Amino acid sequence: MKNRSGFKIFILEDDNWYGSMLEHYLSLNPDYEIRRFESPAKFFAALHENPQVITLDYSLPDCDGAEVLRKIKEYNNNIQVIIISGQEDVATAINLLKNGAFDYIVKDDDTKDRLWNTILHLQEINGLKQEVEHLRKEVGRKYDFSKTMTGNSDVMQKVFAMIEKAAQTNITVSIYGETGSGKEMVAKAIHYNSDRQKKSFVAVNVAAIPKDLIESELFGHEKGAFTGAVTRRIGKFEEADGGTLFLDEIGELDINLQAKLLRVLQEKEITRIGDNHVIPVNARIIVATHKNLLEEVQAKTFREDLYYRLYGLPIQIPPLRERNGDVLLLAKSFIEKFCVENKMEKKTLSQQAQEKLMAYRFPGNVRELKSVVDLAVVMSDGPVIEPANITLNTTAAVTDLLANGKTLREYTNFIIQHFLDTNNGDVLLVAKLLDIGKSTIYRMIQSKDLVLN
Amino acid sequence: MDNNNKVDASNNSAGAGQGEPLYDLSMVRAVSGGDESFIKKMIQLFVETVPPSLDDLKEAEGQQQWERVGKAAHKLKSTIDSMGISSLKDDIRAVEANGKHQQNIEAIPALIQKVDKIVNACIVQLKADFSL
Repeated sequence: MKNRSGFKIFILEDDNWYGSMLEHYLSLNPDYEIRRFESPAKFFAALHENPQVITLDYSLPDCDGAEVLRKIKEYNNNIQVIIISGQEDVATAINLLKNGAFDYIVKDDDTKDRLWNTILHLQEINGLKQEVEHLRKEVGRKYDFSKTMTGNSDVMQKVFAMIEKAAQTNITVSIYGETGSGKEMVAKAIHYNSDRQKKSFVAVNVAAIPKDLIESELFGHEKGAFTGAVTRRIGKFEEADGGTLFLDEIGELDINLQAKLLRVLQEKEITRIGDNHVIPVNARIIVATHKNLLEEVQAKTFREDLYYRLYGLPIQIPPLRERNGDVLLLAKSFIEKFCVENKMEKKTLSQQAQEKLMAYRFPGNVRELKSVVDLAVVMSDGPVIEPANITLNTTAAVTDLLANGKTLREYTNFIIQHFLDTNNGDVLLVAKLLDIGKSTIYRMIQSKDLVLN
Repeated sequence: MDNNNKVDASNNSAGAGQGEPLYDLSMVRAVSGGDESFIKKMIQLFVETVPPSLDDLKEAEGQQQWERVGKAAHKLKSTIDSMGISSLKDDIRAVEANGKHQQNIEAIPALIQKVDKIVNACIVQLKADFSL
């Protein structure tokens, strides 16, 4: 019986009567394409058709069911095998399941229902696998940075070159950049362009997980390892096995856990909390931070040995304000994408709107630009986005500032504080941007006129 | 158990004149999905394929090939169960186990005799009930 979806099931059963019964019963589902075989020879001759499921009679004459299973799995490990046996032998069943059988069903009154449900379950798994494969390809395309990461500036060309180098090896990568500059995007681009792309990309924001939970999050735990550990849970290192583990905001990792992370990176093995078994892990590590880790090392908040272990291939993502010309390039790309995703007519930026965007510093970097542009598209009524449609965060702040009637000193404090806040407290950068001495800023911090958040 | 299935036939004359009903088609009916032609096909298949299997069982016993006896009984077991021949449920398993493990060999001939007798009686009933 041919059908549309072609979920192919082979039945290998030497008992003509019982095989006929299984064949008829399974064919009640119009989605199934059934073929029945009474002899292993004919069955193996047809195996190239790659059925999704095989129901295998364990006790074939002159043929060991375990051996048939082994040959099937050797031929194509993706073919799922359901053993149907007249033997109620637990040891045999366990052995077959260990060797890759999906289920072991004893021939009794419940056989038909169990078989029906098992195959439905397998169909579901098969569908999910296809979906995962499809999504994986989609994600791969999404992070093909040569097509999707926008940037013509020299500084971004350097970043792209580094991504390419990183993707070709397993070297640990450390990504530095301000908030919103696209650190995770770069990490994904490396993963999905490397030979690990078919395995998981697992991202952990170290700063977003409470200190008490981060260890179990990274390394997993056994059931009962601590209060609340009601089941065994694998950690992110295991989840990323064969793939990439992206540790964002690594500078926030608790100093005590830094030693454990260092050991894991050196030994390439973990132990779950509450367990003594050593589990080998093969995860490529990419870390990111907006902090200057060397300063953290000097301040004794980050281990020097871990710093050098993680340094690997450093990639510095420039802030948007230093990416000459990229603001408009990115803005146009975001507008186009937003219009397509929301089934809107294509929109463009007026000359004045472009100038408004170019004049802004975007302390929130690409992330901020995207939200500003998305909002502008929504706010504009016609096909052209005008300056009035663009809402920038500083507009309100400047208006408030001037309306408040502060003293010159208060204005000075306010401006420097604003620059510190929007530049991650980078004193050197703020001094450069405002063309003032760094010691002036340090002095103001010391005298509590400024606060480093 | 559903009495209608105890002995099943389209004309409801199941086992008429044949004594106690020996088979129960509940399972075959459940598998059929309401397809009467499938039920008849399975009965026909039973009538045609089981006697040779019984012959094989008896031949193995005659030649005292006990492992072969166990295998032949194993093959018959699922068909006997699926046809609802409940009176043989334990006996066919005993033949299988005794043959396989070569134990209680002295009990095997009588058990096989019983299996042979009841299966043949069952075939007679089926032929009558389904006008085969």
